[in-house]
Amino acid sequence: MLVLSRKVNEKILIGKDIEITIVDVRGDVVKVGINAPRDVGILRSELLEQVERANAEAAQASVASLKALEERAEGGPKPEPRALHLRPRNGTEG
Amino acid sequence: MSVVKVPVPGLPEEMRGESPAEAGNTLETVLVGTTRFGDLLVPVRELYTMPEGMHGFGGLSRFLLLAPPAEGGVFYWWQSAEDPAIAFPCCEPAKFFPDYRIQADEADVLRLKLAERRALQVLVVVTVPAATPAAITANLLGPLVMDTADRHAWQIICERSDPRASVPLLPPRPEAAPGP
Repeated sequence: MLVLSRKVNEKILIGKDIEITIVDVRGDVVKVGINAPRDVGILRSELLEQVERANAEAAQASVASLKALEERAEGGPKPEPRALHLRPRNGTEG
Repeated sequence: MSVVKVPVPGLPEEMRGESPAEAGNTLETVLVGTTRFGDLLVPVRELYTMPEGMHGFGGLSRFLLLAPPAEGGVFYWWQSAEDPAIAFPCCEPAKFFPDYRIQADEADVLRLKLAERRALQVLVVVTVPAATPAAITANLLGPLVMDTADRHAWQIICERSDPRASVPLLPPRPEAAPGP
């Protein structure tokens, strides 16, 4: 990884189109300004990591657990005595 | 080996209702092996291509959308056509989050030409904890956007509209469950 030292208001150019400015430094927080073409995606990397983690967990699901949820949400064929009847959040399904 | 005809939502009317035999006669089909649903005989044109894959599963680019049964299921499965074990349960966000609107980042709108597409369908991936299925959550941060016409799909990240990857799908229990 290339590591550069910059002061506030100093810039870094990446290629010809992307310009990064150090806007402010306060404690352990650095404010960064980015000028880039409109079609260049800019993302805080922890968001991508969150989605990757959610995907990895989602892919573990079993058909049985989702079927059980659906049956309970619909009043199910055989609701157990103390089973919670699950409803979508807005309560307007079906 | 049992083969199951797969219901696929979002197809034009003329493609619906084909029996497996008709499908086999009139369409090029492919056998998709899955660990959850057995072997599925699928018309090739129903498969989706994900040019950028699912986040964290970059090697997989061909997927099949398995619809819930007509009689009232709500969960879809986004099944890899390349790895039989990989499938993501999904739901229509409107069913559970009526106010949810995806606001794609401008870069995605431009790059994927989202504004020009006329047959977009949006699903969100759900996570179901094995021990506590009722604690199911939906990933509103990374919705699945599919073009049912040209059969391409992307998992975009829209941090501006709802930056939450684990939103409870169901309301909290009204009362504590009695102990065992």
